[in-house]
Amino acid sequence: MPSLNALREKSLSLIDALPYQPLKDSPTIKYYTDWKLLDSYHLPIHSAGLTQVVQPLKLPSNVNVLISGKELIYGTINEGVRVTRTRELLEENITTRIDAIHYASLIQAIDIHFAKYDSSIPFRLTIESALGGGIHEGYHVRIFISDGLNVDLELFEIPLSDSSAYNGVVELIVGKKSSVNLTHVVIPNKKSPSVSNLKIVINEGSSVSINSMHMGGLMHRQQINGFLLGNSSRMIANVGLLGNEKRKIDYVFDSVLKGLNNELLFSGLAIAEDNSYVSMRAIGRISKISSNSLVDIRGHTYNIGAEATAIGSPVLEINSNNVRLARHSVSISNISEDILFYLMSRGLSIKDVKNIFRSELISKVISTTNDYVRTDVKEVLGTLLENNSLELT
Amino acid sequence: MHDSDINRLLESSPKWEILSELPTPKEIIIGGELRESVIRDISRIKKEPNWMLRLRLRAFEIWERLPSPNWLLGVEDLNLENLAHYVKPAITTKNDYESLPQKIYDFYVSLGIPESEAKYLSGLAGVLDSETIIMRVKEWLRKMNVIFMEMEEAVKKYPDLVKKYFSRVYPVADHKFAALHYALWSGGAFVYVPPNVKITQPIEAFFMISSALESQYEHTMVIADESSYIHFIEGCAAPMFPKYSFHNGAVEVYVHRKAHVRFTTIQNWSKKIINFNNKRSIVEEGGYVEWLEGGIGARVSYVYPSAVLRGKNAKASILAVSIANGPYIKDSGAKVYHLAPNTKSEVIAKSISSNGGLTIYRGLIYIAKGARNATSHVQCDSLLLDDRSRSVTIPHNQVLEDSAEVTHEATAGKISEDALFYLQSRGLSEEEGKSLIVLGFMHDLIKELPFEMANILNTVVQLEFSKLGGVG
Repeated sequence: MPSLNALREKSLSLIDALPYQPLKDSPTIKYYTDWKLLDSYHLPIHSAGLTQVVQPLKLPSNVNVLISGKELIYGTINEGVRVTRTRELLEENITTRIDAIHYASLIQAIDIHFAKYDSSIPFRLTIESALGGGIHEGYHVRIFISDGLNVDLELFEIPLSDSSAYNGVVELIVGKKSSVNLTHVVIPNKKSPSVSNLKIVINEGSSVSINSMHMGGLMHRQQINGFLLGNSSRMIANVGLLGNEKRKIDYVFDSVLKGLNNELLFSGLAIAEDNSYVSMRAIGRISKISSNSLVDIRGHTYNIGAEATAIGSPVLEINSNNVRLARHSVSISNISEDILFYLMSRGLSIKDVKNIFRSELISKVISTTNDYVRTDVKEVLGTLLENNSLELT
Repeated sequence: MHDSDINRLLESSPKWEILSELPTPKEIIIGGELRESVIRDISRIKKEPNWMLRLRLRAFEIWERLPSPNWLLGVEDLNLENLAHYVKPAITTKNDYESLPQKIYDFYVSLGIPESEAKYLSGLAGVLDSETIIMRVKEWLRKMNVIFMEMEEAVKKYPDLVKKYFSRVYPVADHKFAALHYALWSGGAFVYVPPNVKITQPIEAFFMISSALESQYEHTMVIADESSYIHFIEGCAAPMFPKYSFHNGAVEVYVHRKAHVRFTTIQNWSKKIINFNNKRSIVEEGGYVEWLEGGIGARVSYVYPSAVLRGKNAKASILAVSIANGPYIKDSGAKVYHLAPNTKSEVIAKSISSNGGLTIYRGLIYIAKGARNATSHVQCDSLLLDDRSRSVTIPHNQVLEDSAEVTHEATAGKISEDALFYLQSRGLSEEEGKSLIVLGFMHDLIKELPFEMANILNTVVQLEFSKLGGVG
């Protein structure tokens, strides 16, 4: 594996040669991310690995590691958890221009190893872009979960800087017979483009359950790649997308099943309102060697904005005959007139009804998370939603 | 066209070797490098009006400019310069089967075409290679003032009518192969149904490619005027060749106010044909278009029937069944553009993959801003018969209207073991049971066809899956 500096050099040489995404110009699959917005940002002038470690620092008790610009701040680190600076990364990961930009613009790259984890309190990692100055800000985190662990993780990605393009990659590598509950919240910046990529590798007998909430931004590309490598591995994704004002989000969930008896369950709920643009694409691929596996992809988008655009595309790729279940369904609609009539007959305004739907969406996604996570999410999202009150159930 | 031009073409023809499998004498063959002179030669042979030549040349320019689609699978060996672009059989258009050369007549009889035409069709156009060789129009069709003729004849006889629609439904610049089609089109049928005329028996166009390394670019146009009805059936066949041939046809359907067009395709090309078919309809207020697509043959097939619902209350229904039995690729789907209020569409796609086949569904539902209360439902079902076969479903829904409702659902899986067990308990062998399930899976399409047509399709499926055992 090349060192970060070598990888950066390699990435620099590839940027102009690679496309932003490997999609081909199929009659139905288009480019929904406005990649051109990224062209006006430049690469940071520094070498990779300049992480400044600040320790100790008083953080909110529920934040374990905070990556903010060049600073790595960590609070309580549980026994059995190790945070280290990444020395090397895989070169094979550079397949698109956005990958190359990511590695060439790395501000921080860290590894978090979970050798054991006994806490009932989730481990929270927060990544913030904070440098500004018209650059791409690349952050790379690898999280390794050892065999036989049950870990609750929280990942918050918050591009704070108005004048830089956030580019975060988080790799979650789960060992055998482990269980991970991941809460993933991304709140992109309204004034600058952002790209977030979560890659999840699941080995034999393990399961990953994701509850994620993504807001739109000036242009936010959210990519989730799942690799179910071992037999009897499982991935459940419960996703909420929220587009309001003129926020844009292009969400792509792409998972491949490579073991026997794998299960992939995806449930997406999105709201497109005002002038927003919400694209939700979910892809489930059953490989030839994956026998008796299950893929179920479901999505619904409420298109409740007069000028909003909603896109839904669930894709199934079946290469195995022995499929237990392969199914997808997606729908796009406004709020049912019956529901609207009922709620308005109870004295609610249209604004109130929309707010109920927002709250419902967020509640559904984070219903299984801890109380204080829900409070945090409510606090963060509530301020973004133009002071509309959010009643989380 | 000057005599010297024809002589030049005739002289050059023998140099262009095509591998004929259904031996029919050829009068003119134009092949090789695609240049402007090829387009001009075809236009001269057809004695076309100038506007059509200009349209061809513009399409040729667009073809040169557009990039090749980079997502196509299975066409790596498609080399246009190796192909004959225009093949004129040495037969003038006939209006009775007996006048056809014996081998062609025998081929038609073996496919049951004369018999089925007599029983349930109101007209038939038979296209061989690049030209129409037989046109049969029932007298009562003429009495209703229905225009049914070769596409080339319509270009000359009804230029204003053709100009109004030609390339206006399926755009020349939609993609590279659409432009190629318009540059080289030859053969095909033209139908105009006057207002309030309802044609009770279908009209059929039947396409044959007789040789390897040949292209066919037929163009079919159906215009249904206000409150009219027509069922148009398109069939195709080709013998097995030692090398491939290329089909790149187009169908344009215009459905006027409150008209209803049903367009059925039974595609049974031999396994040496690379099949592209560009199909689009425009539907005005209260109109209804139905695309029924049975894709059985061909080595590789790319077909996406489309409907542009332009008038309010317009409807589209697309039912596609595709079979990839063997190392073949069937890439099919549907596209519906909802541009007006209260428009409705339904897409049902069924695919069967076996013996290493790959079926792909690509669909697009687009709901424009202002298409108030538009609704669309898409359903895709895939059946895999063995572990060498593959299935991919790529639906795509794009909604810009908040009052619209779009739903999509899809399933993929192997043959139900419960159903198979049940059939075996009734005395069928496993193979027979599988075959019956396949036919049941296709029932949605078969039940929509005229009885005789359904029988033909049943037979084709039986032959296709004969290795599995008897069917029906």
